[in-house]
Parts: sequence; structure tokens; C-alpha cells
Amino acid sequence: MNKKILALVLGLPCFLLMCWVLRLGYIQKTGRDVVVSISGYDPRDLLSGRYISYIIDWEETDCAQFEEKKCPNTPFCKENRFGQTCRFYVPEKDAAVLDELFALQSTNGLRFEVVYVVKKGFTPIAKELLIDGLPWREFLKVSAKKS
Amino acid sequence: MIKQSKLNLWVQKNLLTQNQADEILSFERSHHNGFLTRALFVVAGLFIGLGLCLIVAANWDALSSSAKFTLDFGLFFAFIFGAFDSLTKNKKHLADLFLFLCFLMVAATIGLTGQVFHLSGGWQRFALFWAILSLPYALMSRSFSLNMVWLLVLFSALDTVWFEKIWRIFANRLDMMCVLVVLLCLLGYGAKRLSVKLKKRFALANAFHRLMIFEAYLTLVFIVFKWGVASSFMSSLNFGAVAFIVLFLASRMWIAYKGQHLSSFKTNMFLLEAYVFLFFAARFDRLLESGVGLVLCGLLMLGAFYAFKKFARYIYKLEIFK
Repeated sequence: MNKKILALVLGLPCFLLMCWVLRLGYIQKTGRDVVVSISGYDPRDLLSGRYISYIIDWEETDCAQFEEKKCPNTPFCKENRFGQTCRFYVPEKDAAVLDELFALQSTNGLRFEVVYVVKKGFTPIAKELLIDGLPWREFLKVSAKKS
Repeated sequence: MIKQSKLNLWVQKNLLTQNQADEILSFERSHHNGFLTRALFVVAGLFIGLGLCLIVAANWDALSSSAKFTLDFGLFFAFIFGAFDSLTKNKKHLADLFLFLCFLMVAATIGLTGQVFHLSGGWQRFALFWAILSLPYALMSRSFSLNMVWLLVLFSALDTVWFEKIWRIFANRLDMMCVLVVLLCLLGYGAKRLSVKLKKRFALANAFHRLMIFEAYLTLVFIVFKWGVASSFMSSLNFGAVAFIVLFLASRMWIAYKGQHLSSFKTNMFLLEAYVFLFFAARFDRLLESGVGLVLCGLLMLGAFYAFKKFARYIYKLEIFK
């Protein structure tokens, strides 16, 4: 096989993956932030320790931040076998604490939200997890100081 | 490496001339890399690779997203270069190793991107994306294992809900299950023909052939347990199942006989024997209820043992399997 074609064939998957990453990075950099409320979801997933599985609570979300002051019809998360559940990945060392806080949301009264980056024509990308209006890392620091 | 003492012995026995022995020795020496050197390279490579993985894993949370992607794509490029270099220099085993690493890197990069951008979606999307993007590596590799893993990833991406729906239609009908077995065999046979036509350049066709045949046997096992060993009475459905199972295994034996594949012949013969035993064993509980039944059982076992022994001896004596 011609060396140029061989290099092209071998490099094509890597190039496509790079394009995908750059596209996602571009959306994240240039999109507009919106905050949506989230509620817990029974993850039934072996990997749930490393991410929080949630569904978007549109009733609790301020729809005025979207275009035409309406909550969007298009789904924010891809469909999987358990329905339209979303994921927010967290570092392993903080996963257990966050998972517990999230699971006990109804008793501890904490408000969980996710900042999404939206751009017309693209699927929204989750950017930050907010707990009582604070980014989750900051919230954990503050609550650690308090205790 | 061939020992000099062995070559001397062959020269003494007039199997080789001295010149030929010298040529063999010089060829072996020029093509022989010391086992220790190779082992050292492998162990050193493992240590370096493992050490790098541990360093990255220990600092994973501290690394920024861009650092993670730089590391990921850096490693990916290194493996691509390794595959390119070994393919152009015709180092087949090394090329297969690098292609397998490239195949894994596709999955690692998709996983990393999903983690950094908090992407949702289940295994099916991940597996489909992985299979599509890594197709060039599967096609370039002559490794049967890589191609089999690629096929399994692709098939796992197909929606299980649809699979279940189709299975529910098929599973309760013997005729449909028999058609399915034949269809899987035909697909496997087609893949085999393609593999031969392409001079075995693409291991994917061979892997597909083996997977289809394996699935056909799995379906056959299902037929055996659903209809083939019914113990109460022989209905036309049971008879149909038994006839199909015996016919299928016998035809596989015939194909193996024609193609002179001893291992395939032996496997199918063993399966047929196992099935006949299972078929009678399923009826043993009724036979054991009476004295006549017990005697019949004993005679049946002896007869089967004798017949199988005779049959096996006859098979091994056949000229084609010598």
C-alpha cells in the first residue's frame, strides 16, 4: 500500500476524534450559559460512583433565560436504555460525598443546578454543577470550613 | 535457533551436506535476536508503560482538560507512528500490537471526551462510535483477536431492545429457529469464501465466519433444550427438532470430511455423541421406574459405548485423517 494512503488511513480516526473534541471545545467557549434545575435519578449503573446521574427538572427551571422565553423542546441529553438521563462527571475522591448530598436532596434542602452551554444548532454541553448557587468545588470547601 | 550439534548429526546421517549446514547456521545467526534481548525490551517497555499509567492515574484529577487531551493524543500519535513504521517495514507482529493499541486508544479518547464534556448516552452509542472509528485498525490488522473484539463491540452496539423483540418472535417457533441456524451458517460460509478470495488479507472476514458459526451452534443449543430433549413424549415438533439437530451436525461432519478438517470433524462428532447421550438421559427417569427399564438402560449404555468406540476407530483409520 502506498505510504501516503497508509498514513491517511491510520491517522483518519485520530483526526476525526480531534475534530470532535475541537467542535465541543468551540461550543463550550462560544455558547451562552443557561442554568437548569436537576433532580436525582436512580442510576442503576455500575459506573455511577464517578458521575452524578440526573434528569432535568424543567418545572423548577427559569425558562426566561432561553430564547423566546420558553424552555426548549429539544433534549439536552442523549437517550440511553434508562431514558434521557444526564451525567456530570466528578473526581473519584469527591464522588461519594457528592453522591450522598445529591441522594439526600429532599431532606437536606440543597438546590442542585447544572450550567449548560447552549448554541443554536448544537446539543447543549454541561459545564458546571452548582449546589445552592455555588460551583460544587467551592461549595465543598465552604461546607468543610463550616464543619 | 537450530543447534550446531543437531546440524552435525544431520550431516553425519547424510540428510544435509556440509555446505547446506553452514548456510543454515549463518542464516539462523543473522535472523536470530537473542531471547534475552527481546525479553529485556518487553519487560522494560512494560515497566515504562505501567509507570507512565500510574503517574497519570495518580495525578488525573490535578491535570487540566487540555493536559489530559495532550497526553491522550500524544500517546495516540505515538501508537499510530508505531503501526505505520512496523507496517511499512513489514514487522507483522509489532504492527498488530500497535494496531490493537490504536484500537484501544479510540475507546480511551471517546471516554475521555465524554468525561471532560460530561456527555451522556449509553453503551450502545459509545460502542457504535468506537466500532466505526476503529474500523481502519481492524481492517489493517491480521490479528484474529482484534477483529473478533471489533465485531463484538459492533454487535453490542445494536439496540438490545430490538434484539429482544426479534428474539421473542423467533424463540417460540422451531421452524424460524432452524431458518436462523441455516442463515447464520450461510453468512459464515459467505464470509469464509470472501476470506479465501481476498487471500486471507483481511482477518475480519474470518472472524465474522467464526462468530456466525458460533452463534449458529448457540442457537442449536437453544433448540436442543427447548425441543430436542423433550422427555414426556415424541410429538412431531420434537421429531422435527431431533431431525434438524442430527442433520445439522451430520452435515457439519460431512463438510469437515470434505475439507479434511479433523478438529472440526471431531468436535461435531463429539457434539453428536453428547446430544444422543443427552437425548436418552432425558428419558432415563422413566426407564428407571421399572426393572425392564433398568436392564434396557444398562444395555443401551453398553451398546452406545461399543458403537462410539467402533465408530471412532473407523474414523481415525480413514486415510484423509492420517
